[in-house]
This record gives sequence, C-alpha cells and structure tokens, in this order.
Amino acid sequence: MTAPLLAVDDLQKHFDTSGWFDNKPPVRAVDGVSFEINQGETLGLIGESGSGKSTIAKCIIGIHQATGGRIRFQGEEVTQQTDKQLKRIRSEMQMVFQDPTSCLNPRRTIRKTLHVPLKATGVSKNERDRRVEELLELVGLNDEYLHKYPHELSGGQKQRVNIARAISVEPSLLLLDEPTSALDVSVQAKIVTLLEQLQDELDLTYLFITHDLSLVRNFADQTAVMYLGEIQEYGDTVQIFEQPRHPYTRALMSAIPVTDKREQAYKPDDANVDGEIPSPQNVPSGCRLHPRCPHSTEQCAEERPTPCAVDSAEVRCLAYEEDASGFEGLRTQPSPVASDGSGSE
Amino acid sequence: MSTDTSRLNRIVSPSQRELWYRSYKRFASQPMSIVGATIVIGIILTAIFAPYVAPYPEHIGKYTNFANAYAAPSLEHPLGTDDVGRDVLTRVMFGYRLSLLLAAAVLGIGVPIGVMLGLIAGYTGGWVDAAIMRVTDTFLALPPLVLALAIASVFEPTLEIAIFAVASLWWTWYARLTRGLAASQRDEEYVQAAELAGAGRIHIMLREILPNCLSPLLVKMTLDAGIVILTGASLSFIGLGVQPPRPGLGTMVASGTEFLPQSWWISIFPGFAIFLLVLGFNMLGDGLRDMFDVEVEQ
Amino acid sequence: MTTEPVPDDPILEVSDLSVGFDGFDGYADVVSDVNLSVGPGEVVTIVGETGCGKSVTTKAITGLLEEPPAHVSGTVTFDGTDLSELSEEERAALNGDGIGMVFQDPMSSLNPVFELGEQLTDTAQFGGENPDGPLSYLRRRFSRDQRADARARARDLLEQVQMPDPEAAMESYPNELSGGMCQRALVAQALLNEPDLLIADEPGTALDVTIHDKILSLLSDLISDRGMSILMITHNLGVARELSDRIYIMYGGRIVESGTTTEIFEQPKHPYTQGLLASMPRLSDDSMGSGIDGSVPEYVDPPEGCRFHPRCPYADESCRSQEPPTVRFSQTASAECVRHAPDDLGPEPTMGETRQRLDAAVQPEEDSV
Repeated sequence: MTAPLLAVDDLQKHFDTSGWFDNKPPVRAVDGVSFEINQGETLGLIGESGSGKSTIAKCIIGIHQATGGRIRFQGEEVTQQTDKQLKRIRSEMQMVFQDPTSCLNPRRTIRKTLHVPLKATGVSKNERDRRVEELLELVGLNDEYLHKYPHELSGGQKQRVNIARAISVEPSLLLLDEPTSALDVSVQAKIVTLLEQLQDELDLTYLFITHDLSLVRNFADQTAVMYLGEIQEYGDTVQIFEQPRHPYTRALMSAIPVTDKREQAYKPDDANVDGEIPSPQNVPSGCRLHPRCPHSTEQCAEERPTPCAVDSAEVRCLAYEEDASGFEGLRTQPSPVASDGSGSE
Repeated sequence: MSTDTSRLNRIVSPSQRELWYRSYKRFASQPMSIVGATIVIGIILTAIFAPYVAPYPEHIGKYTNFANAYAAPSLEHPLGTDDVGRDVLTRVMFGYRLSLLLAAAVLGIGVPIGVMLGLIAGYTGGWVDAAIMRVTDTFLALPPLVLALAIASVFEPTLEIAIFAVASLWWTWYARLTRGLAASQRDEEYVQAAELAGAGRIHIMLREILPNCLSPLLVKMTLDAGIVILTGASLSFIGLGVQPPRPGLGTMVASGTEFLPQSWWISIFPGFAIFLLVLGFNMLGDGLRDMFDVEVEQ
Repeated sequence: MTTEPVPDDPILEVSDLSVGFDGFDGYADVVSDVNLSVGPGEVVTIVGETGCGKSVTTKAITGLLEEPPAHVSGTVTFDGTDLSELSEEERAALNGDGIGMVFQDPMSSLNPVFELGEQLTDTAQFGGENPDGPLSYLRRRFSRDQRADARARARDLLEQVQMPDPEAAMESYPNELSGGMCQRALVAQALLNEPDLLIADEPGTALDVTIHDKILSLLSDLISDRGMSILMITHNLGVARELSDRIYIMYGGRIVESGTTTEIFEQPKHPYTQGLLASMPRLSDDSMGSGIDGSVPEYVDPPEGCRFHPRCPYADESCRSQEPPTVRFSQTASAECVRHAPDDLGPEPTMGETRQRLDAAVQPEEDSV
C-alpha cells in the first residue's frame, strides 16, 4: 500500500497572545490533530468557528508554522519548512480560500492575476497567454473574462478564477478552505461538480474544509469532525453519516435544516448541544465538549479522551472506551439507517 | 463565523464606466475641489508657458530700469514694478516656475525613496521593518528649516541646496505612510494567494501592494505640494533658497518688505501668489481625498 | 399577475409591488408585480438566492428605500391601512411599533458604543409612538421610574429570548457578546413593542449551525407563544421548511412559485424550485445535483419573457416571447411557468425530469455562473 499523500500527526498550533505585562493563556487553535489523505481522495474536514480547521490548512501550506506535531507530504517531512522546501511545496500544493473576492487583487485584471503563478513557475511569456486560456476553459469560463476586473464577476465566477489559479501550477494536493460558503446553493453545486471533474481529470487530492455537513456527505471519501482544535470523529464518510457516534457529530447532524422526510429520518434524535462554543483560549478541562454535551458525566470533566476505534472510525469520546460506564443513553441510540426502514439510496 | 459577508449584495453591478463617473461626481460634489483644480491647472499652465505669455520676459534676469522703479499697478504693469524697475507680474509668473520646480524636484526625489523604503519595511516586517522605521524616526525628528540652515551654512545657499535639504527630510513621511499601507495589506488574502502562487517579493510589493496604495499617496502628494512650496518660500525668505536676481517668490517677498507700506505691491503680490498656489493644492488635495475615500472601500 | 388567495383578514398584503432603480447604465427593473400576503399568526417565508430581489422587496414593504433613485409602485397594506397614505413619521413609527424587524448580521446591527441594556431600554421607552418634542423626550429620558420600567421590560424580554444570564448581558457591550447572543438581543429588541408582524431577514445565517438551529427553535417558540405573524427572508430552503406555513420562491424579482410548505417540498412545480431542491446537498446520500447553469439576470437588461428562461432546461420560443402565465394548482399553490399551462405542448416539469436535464447539461458553458 502506497504511503498517503499527506499525513498529519499530532499537529499543534498555539498562538501566544501575551503582551509584555500580562500572561494570557495561549490560543490553542489546533491541539493534537492526526489524519491521512491518500492520492486522489478527498478528506472533508468539518467544524464550526473556533474549531481550528482553517489553521490546519494554513500550517500545512506554510502560512503558519506548527508549534508541535509533524506534517508529511509526499513522504517528506515538511513541518518546519525551509525556504527551499517551501518553494517546492508551493508548486505541489495549493490553496483556495473562502472569500472569492478578497483573494483577487481588485486592481488587476483576471489575466494578470492568472499570469502570476505561471510566471513564478517559469512559463515563457508566449506560453502564458495560451495556458491562461486553457485554464479558463478547464474551469468553464470563456476568454471574455480575461480583461475583466474582479468586481465585474459574480461570486461563482470569481471562485472559478481562484480554482484556475490554484491548478495552474499543476499541484497534486489542493486545500480548499470553505470554497463555497459564500456562494448560493445552485452555484455551490456547480463549483462542487467542477471540483469533482477536475479531481478525475487531473488526479487531484483534496482537503475540503467546510462547516456544512451535508456537503461533505456528497463529496468526501473520508470525514473528520473537529471541535475546539481536536478531531472528535474520523473515518469513512458513509459510515459516519449512517452511524454517527460522537455526541458533537450527532448534534451537528440534528441541527441541519433538511428538505424532506427521508432526510429528517437521518437526523439523530438527540438534543442539540447547550450553550455557546467556548473560546480556544479557554478550553474546558477533560473532554472539550463536556460543558455542552447532553450525555456528559463527571468523568468527562476530568479525563481528556483519546481517539478509540469503533468499527472503521475513530471517536474521541469516553463513552466508547473499553470500560466506559454511564453512557448507555448515547451508545444505544438507533442509527438513522435502522430507524428509516427503507434503507439508504 | 460570518459566511455571508461577501455575498454579493448588489442588485446591479457597476460597470467600469460607472465607477469612473461616480469618482468624478464625488470629486465634483465639493465646489472647492473644482476651484482648487482650476487654480492649480491654471498656475501650472502659466508656469509652463511663462516665457511666451509673460509681458516682459527679460525682467527676470539682470535687468534694471530705475526710471520705472516703484511704479504702482497700471495697465502696462498690472502688478506694478519693483525697486529696480522690473515687472512684478512677469517675475511672479516665473516665480511660479521655480516653486513648481521645487515641488516637483522634492517630491520626485523624496517620494520614490520613501515609498520603496516603506514597501520594504511594511511587507518584510521583522527587524528590517524596525531598522528602517528607526532611521525614519530619526530623520523625522529633525525640523526641515533648521536642517536647511545647517546645510546651507556648510554649502552655498542656493535653490539646489534648498531642494536637497527639503528632499532629504521629505521622504520620511512617505516611508511612514507606505509602510502602514503595506503592512495592512500583508495579511490580505490576495497577497497570500500571490505568495502561494510563487510570486517573488518584488512582484508582490510593486504589483500587488503598490497599486492599492496609490490613492492615499496621490492625495498626500497633492497636499504636500503646497507645503513643500511654502517651505521653499520660507527658506527663500530667510535667504537660503532662491538667490536674487532669480525671481523666487519667497525671495521677492523678503526683498519687498522694506518697501512696505508705500510700494506694497512689491511684497504683497508675490506673497499672495504663494498663498494662491498653496490654497489651490490644498483644495485639490481635499477633493482627491474625497474622491478616493469611498473608492478604497469599493 | 398572480391572483393570490388572500387569507382572511391578512395582516400584511402586498399587491402589484414593482421596484426599479435609476442607474448609471440605465433603468434597472428589479422587482415586478409581486403579490404576497401574511395572515395573522402565519409564518410566511420568501426564499431566493442572491440577487433575486428579496431584500429590495422587504425594504419596499418597510418603506426603507430612498425614492429616487428607487421607484416603488403598487400597494402595501398593513392591518388594513394603506401604507402609502401615511406620512414619513407615521411610517417610521409603524416600523418600530406594529412591525418589528430583525436584520441579517447581528454584530453590525447593534451600536457598539452603548451597553446592550441602554439600547434596549431606549427602544422600550421610545420605540413606536413618539410624537412629542425634545423637552418631553428629555423629561422621559431622565425620569427614573419610566426608565426603570423600560429597563425591566427589556430584561424580561431577554429572558424570553433565552439569553443566558440576562443581567450580565444588559451590562455588556455588543462586541463582548457572542453572535448567538447578539442575535437573541436583536430579536428581543424587535419584540419590545409587541409588534403584530415580525420581519426577519436571514436570521442567524451568519452564525454557526448549532447556534442557528437554536435561534430557529427560539423563533418557533415565540410564534406559538405570541401568535405573532412572521415574514421571513432566507436563501436556505431547509430553514424555510422548518418554520414556515407558506413559502414564496423568488427569482429575478418575481415570485415564481408559491404554496404551503408541504406543497412546495412534496410537489414543487417551477423548474427553478426543482433545480434548487436538486442542488441541495443531502444527508442521506450523495445525490446532490450539479446546480443550475447561468447566472442571475442583469436587471438593466433583463431577459425577455420569462426571466428564468436562459437557465431553464425546458425553455423554448414561447418562454422568450411572452411573460409566463400564472398557473394555479390549488387554493394556495401556484407557479409562473408556461410549461404548466393546460394548453402547452411541452414536457411538464417534474423533480425527476428537471434533475435529469440539469445533470445532463454539465458541459463548460459560455455563460457560466
């Protein structure tokens, strides 16, 4: 079995916010995250605000430096990147940001913007124009967009330009940080379809970061659910959706507004989590979810759970550990597939 | 977490033409801006065409006509003549040339230096930023007039020296301003995206960051033009700038003071000329700032 | 032109509402002939994506559009009163009193320099009718009893909107509160003067899913407790389904489909509605559609005939040449589409058919979105 394209091991990123005169606890944006992505696959990373999902991507690509743990890309250790490594990485790995508008320089035409990565990878001047046209075609835009400015494009079109820019250097890994959150549903579907097409055509690997659970269901091979800097549940997408184990995953699923009865049957019956998300500067003791979790016990406040294997998923919850007791309410929840007699598909 | 902040709220997206039109309207909405623009353009044209338009172009050099000295304003000499019989109007027109030259030279030297240093400091950050800023602060602490005095006492007091003295201090403001603008843009996503795309630092500074700094820089340059001219005139007034018989406006004010109040026109008109030019630049600068204010938002 | 089945004694009735804007590049004909109504105790939602004109419609209803450059025609009747007959002050007073409004972004709708308690108390004291002059304002503002009463009312309301620790919240500044709390505060502010109609523009969209869900259940509770009517605006069909009794689907400044919630979700008729439903990612499987081609119409130069026809998988010449007729399916359900007209020969749009056609059209198009 070939090594995964990207392997992250116990990654940590803490931001130190103390000034000279005060001693504030660090912001534990990412606190021990591990996952792997194989070539050609998609990992969906789900989380709400404060979960650290964007920070992970930024550490991988070198915008932030990790404060702990290891990142391995194409077999090579890239945690503390040297400048030379960075250069090589950036032709193999690219990122698409959330806000399509702010990634495009408002004073440069699309053509100029797309020239930048081509120039940087040493494409000759005559070649550049041809490549830019090729790229636009790949993402479904015609060449009338070459001379337009960002403000003349719609959100979906801008995001296509961003995707074009990202694939122009022919990367093998694409980090997508909420690429469709700012777009309407019908546009989102088109962008996701485009991404799937490109994945097939160019053999791309994706780390797809989003807060939208259902989107991940439609797109990702593997799913990881994050809360306050930790991965709470990680595994095969279909399995996680059919048998969500972690209370937070279940809370997320039960909070999604859906559009028909079959979808409704898929939602767990648990109550939503209480209260608000705490700040990553002030993480609760023990299990980070415990102040809000409907199933928490005293143990949860004291002991920080480690990921344990349940079927083919990893769940970070005391309820699933070997000798756990007092969690019957959680462990005996019927799975959506079982409750909906007709089964999936 | 705002997922909606960038949803396009506009029902009707503006075309490029509309944006230009709106910028112009903002500029023209303040009548003062138009007045300022008119004054500045008028004076610049006068200065450019002075050799052809001035009534007595030979009066700017070593010309004397004591018979016609101290002549009050009249049809032949709308602004009168000075103590050696030279036409004040002509000299004021050529005086404008010198003033504008001074402004152009100072800004032409100071702005590029300041902007480059500011871009490097703001984008690079770290110790480079700190080092450049400390040097800037040091220069900022020196008052221009005092420095000019010092320099002039070492070298000859001429216009060229005055330009050098003022320019050697003027770059600091641009370094400061540009540094702030560059530093704030460093975290913009399009800069990050360009970095990720592999763009080199020079490209990012000049092609990504600088174009977004142009508006505040242009406003500052326009407002500064007036201040530079005033500084130059002050230097001339105390004898450090334009030397007689060259028609420096400040020099003319200085040499004309001894003839107040009888032959008031010798001093007052050059003084008013300075005032008019500075006022024009100020109003123009304000108008530009209004015009760019919202554009930056967009 | 839709002939809406008006619920008996509607609290809000909008007829033939049209809004246009004088633009630099020409006249933008944004909203056309919109008819909608909200009955007492009903929750009605306008669903539409960006650029469909829903915000413009809401602003026209509440009189918040500047005319010019806007040109509003049509009638808006609130509780029997034609709003165009009111003066500007009366209109403004109505907005604080009979109609309550909750806007989109909670963080930016509250004044950051005043404590929350101050703002709510001000609204409690001065919202709604306030016909007196400055002296009387000053007197009321500094009258201890009146102020204390108003403050108590504000605090009670914070409790009702399930604000954690209302006392502390009252003494906090908006930037010290989380997004969820700010949203609750906004709802409280809107309810202070006991409006008959609450207009909520994308409530909670900017918040995390778990918090958003709570805001929605809060609204649901409030509806059942108070018997209030709600006009909600959203782009999320799932959210609409959760709270609404009736739904209007808006596209290109027109209402393209309307019906009860059940009707819309179980039997959507308009190809746009169907396309939208098909494009939504699903929890139970990965059958998400591939979206709808094309983009929102340019209002300065809108498509002829049906505004959706450039993107519609059923479009033909008749769609281009004439405005689509309104076809009624029941007392409450209707859609503007010529394909549903009884004498039309083209295929009838159904969910399955639409989905197939949209998925088949996944080539790079000239006119991508």
